[in-house]
Formats: sequence, C-alpha cells, structure tokens
Amino acid sequence: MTRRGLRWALLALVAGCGDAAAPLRADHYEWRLFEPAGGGGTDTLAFAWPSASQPLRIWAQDTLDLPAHTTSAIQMWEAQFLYGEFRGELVTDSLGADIIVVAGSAPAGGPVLPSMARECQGATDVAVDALTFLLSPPMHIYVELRFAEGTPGTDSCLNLTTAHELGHALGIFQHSPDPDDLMYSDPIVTAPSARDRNTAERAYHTPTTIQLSR
Amino acid sequence: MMHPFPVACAAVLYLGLPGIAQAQQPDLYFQLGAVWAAPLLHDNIAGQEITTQQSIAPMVRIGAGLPVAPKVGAGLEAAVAWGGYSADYAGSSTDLGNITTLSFLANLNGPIAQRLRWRVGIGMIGTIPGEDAGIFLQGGSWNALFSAGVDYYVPLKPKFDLMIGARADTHTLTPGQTTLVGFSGTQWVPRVSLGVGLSLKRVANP
Repeated sequence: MTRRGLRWALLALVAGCGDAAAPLRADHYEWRLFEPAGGGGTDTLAFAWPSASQPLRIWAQDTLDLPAHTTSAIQMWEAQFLYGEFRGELVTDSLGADIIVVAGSAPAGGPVLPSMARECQGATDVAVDALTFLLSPPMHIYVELRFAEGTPGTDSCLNLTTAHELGHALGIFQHSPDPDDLMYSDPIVTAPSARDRNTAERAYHTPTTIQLSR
Repeated sequence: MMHPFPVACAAVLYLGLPGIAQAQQPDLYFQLGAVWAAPLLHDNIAGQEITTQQSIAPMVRIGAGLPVAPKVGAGLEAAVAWGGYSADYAGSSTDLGNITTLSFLANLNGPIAQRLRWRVGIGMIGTIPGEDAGIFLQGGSWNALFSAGVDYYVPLKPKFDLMIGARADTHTLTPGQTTLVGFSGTQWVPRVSLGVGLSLKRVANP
C-alpha cells in the first residue's frame, strides 16, 4: 500500500514537468533602419540599450508637464517587457542622462524620427556615427504643441507623443504602418499595442549593429 | 487583497495546533532549509532562448498532524521560501528582483522503515513577486501543488527528535501577464527542498 502510494506520487511528480508554450510574436512591424551601403548593398541599423545600461536615466524638462508624461511613458514601455529588458528612471540632473526630453523643435539637419499627432508633434534624434555605428548618448526627444497650451486634447497628445518618441529612443527606429499602434507615424492610440509589444521584444532579442559609446 | 486559501490554511493550522499538541501522538515539526526550483518559464523571442529561473531559496517549514490509522497520519504543512529570480539570455543574467513562495499542503504520512517516514501531500502554492513587473506585472498567482517526500528522525532529546525532511514537489504557474502576452498550456515547476529541524514527537517504531 505504502510503496504503491509512493510509486503513484513519483509518477505524478514526473508527469508534472512541462513547459507552457511561448507565443510566436509573429505580428510585428519592421523596427530597424536600412541605409544604403557601398557597393549597392544595404546596412541594417539595429539598436537596443544593453542590460548593463539599465535602468536608463531619463531627464525631462520641467515644462508642459513633461516629467509626468515621461514617467507615464516609462511605465508604458516597461510594461511591454517580460524580462527587465528596459527599465527607466526619471532623474533630476540632465548630466549623465541617457535620454533627454525637452520641449521644442528638433534642430534642423539632424537624423530625426518625427511624429505628428493632432495637437502636438515630436521627434527623436538618432545620432549614430555613420562610419563607426556608434551611438553616443544622450538621445534627445523633442516634443512641442501645435496649438496654444490649454487647447483641449493637448495633455493627452503630449502623453502619447512622449511615449511614441520614447519608443524610438528605445530602438524602434521605424514607424508602424498600422494606426492602431502607438508607433504609427501620426499616433492616435494612447498606449502600446500587442504589435508594439512584439516589436519591442524582438528589438531587444535580436542582434544589434549599433553599439553604445560613452 | 489576501487570497482566501492561505488565510483558511493558516487559520486551520492556528486553531488546530493546541488540539494536536494535546493529542496522544502529536506530529509537530519545524525545519529550516533550502529549496531549488526548476525554471519558472521558458521563452523564445526571435530565436533567442530565455529562461526565467529562481535562485536557491532559504526556507522555513512547519507542520502538524495526527494519526488517523494504525500506520497513517494526516496533517497540514506550511512553508515559506524567499529568494531572487532572474532572466538568463544571450549569455547574461538580468536580476528581476525577489520572489516569495508560500505553500500549504494537506498530507498523509506513514512509516517506511525505522525512523524513516514517507509523506505525500496536495495543496496550493502562492508565488509572490517583490515587485509587480515583467511576467508578474499583474501580480503573483496561486496554483496547485503536489508533493512527495521522506522524513528521517534522529533521537535527540526526550521530547524532541532531530528531523531531516526532503521533498520533491511540482506546481503549475500561471501569472496573468504570461497569459495576456500569449503563453498557452501549463507551466509546471518541479522543486526539491531539504530541511533540518526539530520534531516534537519521537516516531514510534513501525
């Protein structure tokens, strides 16, 4: 009786070994930049902040409620990752920040990823050295209103635009073709979608070509 | 909000202990030890394997029971273990913080040989993260737990035995966030634990 019970118990333990099936995450969009290369080829520019850089230090200018919008954006993107690939913290000193969020337009001529929502617009510089493929932080995010402050919808617009631009700063260097995604060029939705999440996760588990230079 | 199951189990243990202590052959024990668990989750993103793994965790185990038949006892056992967990991929490990497991088992036990007893149980285990993030973004989870093990008793004092307990158990793990992002099927997490402590009752020879 005892031995038979033990055999059943051991059998149950052996049977109780199995893994949940991981999702395929097939529904995603292209996040990497493709640049013409010598000889008619194409360079693939892919970037993800390394785990040694986490948590990223993010500074936001104290205007247009940018610190609050940036905090919201950090939380949105942290929630998309399962394994701590991105963690961010708002810092009070811009010195040494990895990402700087300011109000205003991006300087002309720089390599920027723009976005235009209804009431505001944003841009993120991706200052990558074309020869060395080195990226020197801080990245700059620019957010500005298209109408006077206080216009209905501006607060929501600043929130989603800051989150959209932070997505670029995290390594999503292209826009989604789907308006249901936060990373659509003229974003409407207020939070990352499942496709945004799949894309971000892929960006952090795919070999990168752009290295960080400090 | 507290899950009703651990509250009920704790209440049963608390209310039942005085009666068990007064019984003719009470089975009361306390152990300190460690528990090792198999990975909490395996994932594959764009061909990259990711393993979420608990560290070996210190553990405290208490139990109480009574004989219910000539060679069979029944009891309740509670254990708490706490340690870190991490995600391992691309040759590096990312610290994800701390995790506490709290388990309650209803068990049966009986003799195998002199000083050696078997113990099998069924119950529930709570996996409680230190921070609601990552796979535990929506908090921890309570899942079914199945356990089997042996206890070895060494006479130590007139009222106490030294007790060495080994357990192998397995439980399902279903954090809400993993379901949300598309994991399917059941994740089983086998564990092995070893504890050393004191038992109030010297086990009668079988």
